[in-house]
Amino acid sequence: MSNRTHKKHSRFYLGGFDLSSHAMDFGPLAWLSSPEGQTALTDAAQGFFPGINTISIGTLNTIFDNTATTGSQIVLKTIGGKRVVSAPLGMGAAPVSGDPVFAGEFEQKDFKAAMEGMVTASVEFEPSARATSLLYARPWGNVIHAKGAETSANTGESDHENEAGQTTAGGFMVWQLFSADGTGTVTLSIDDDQATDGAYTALVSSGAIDASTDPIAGIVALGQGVTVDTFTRWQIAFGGNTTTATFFLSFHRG
Amino acid sequence: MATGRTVGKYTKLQIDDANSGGTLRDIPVATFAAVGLQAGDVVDLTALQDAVKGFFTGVEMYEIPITGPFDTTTKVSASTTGNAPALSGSHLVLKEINNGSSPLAFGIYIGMQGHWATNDPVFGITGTAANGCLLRDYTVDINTQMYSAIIYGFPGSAIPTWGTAQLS
Repeated sequence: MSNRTHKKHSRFYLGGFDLSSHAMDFGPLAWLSSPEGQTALTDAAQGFFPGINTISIGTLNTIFDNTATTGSQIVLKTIGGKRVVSAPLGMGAAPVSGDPVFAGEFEQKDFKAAMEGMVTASVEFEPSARATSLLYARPWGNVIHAKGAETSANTGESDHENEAGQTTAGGFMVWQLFSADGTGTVTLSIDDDQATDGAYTALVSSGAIDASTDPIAGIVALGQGVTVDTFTRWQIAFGGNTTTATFFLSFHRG
Repeated sequence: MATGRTVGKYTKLQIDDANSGGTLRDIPVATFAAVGLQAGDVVDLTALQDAVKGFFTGVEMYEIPITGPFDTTTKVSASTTGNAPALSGSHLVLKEINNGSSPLAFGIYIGMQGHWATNDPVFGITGTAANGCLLRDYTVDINTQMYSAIIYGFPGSAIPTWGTAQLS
């Protein structure tokens, strides 16, 4: 794994759709704060405190594609809705567990096609007032499960180790379910453990997702004071006649 | 220690890596802008009858935009006098301190014709409960794979200064 990278290793997931094969670029990934001045007459220097944060995923620039179901124009033509967006940045390769992710819920403001040469489209997003994650002003997290298929529960020892160790500020899980078979259910979750001793416990769960609703995405937020152990791993459970699911998970500590 | 002129490749930034109880880290920086103090609230007191324009300067301020490569290198101890920078990942440090409200230590070290050593110039401030800087607006451009952010003043803090000794 490299420590620096190129945008070709970035991915763009929206509402359970992988738009990476259409997206040309996106961003900037902005985490802003309007500073509030706090300078007294006798202060040695001007000082400011951060105001309310603004988290923005910027603009998605995409190839205009009307392939049924999955084309960018098909997925994005309806505006005004709340979208769960995940932007993992693969470090020197396609994203893997531990790689950084910028994610959140954003309002889709528009979908504008342009016909200069190749036909392209741009989509602008705004932070959503309907976001599940309004409690948290931290868009950056880590990949817990890179996009891929699973057919059984995770019995591994550990998946991702948080460099800063155990935290006590909660966080939120972002899940993207790209596809699942059958008409049963899929439950996506994250377990945590303070040591690599296999004693994982459930941390946060999507609840049972109807497999027939794929592609679909969501965010589940923990309480702000919840303890999250150092080690986190993905977990999955199936119900009914559903036996396989292709999904992505990230966790964003508070 | 050399005196006289130098080149940018011997410049480094050290900044606390957490909003409370942080540790100084070297992070990769490609550009610094406006390193130093500026006069704030400059007011124009020119009368029509004056022969020349006249201004009065207000409380000093600093606002230092930085850019650099998006980097996830595991954090390591900051470099010391006479040694090459020991880089920690910019993303790992900046995502923890962005838009925080606790003062941070920082230092922009300018090595004179070699790696920074004691008696070379450094602009910054030692972090305490009441003194330091803040950092805001951490933004990543995936096209360039560069971050940007702004170092600025903590309310009521002592002013950063130009010194020649390692900051802590």
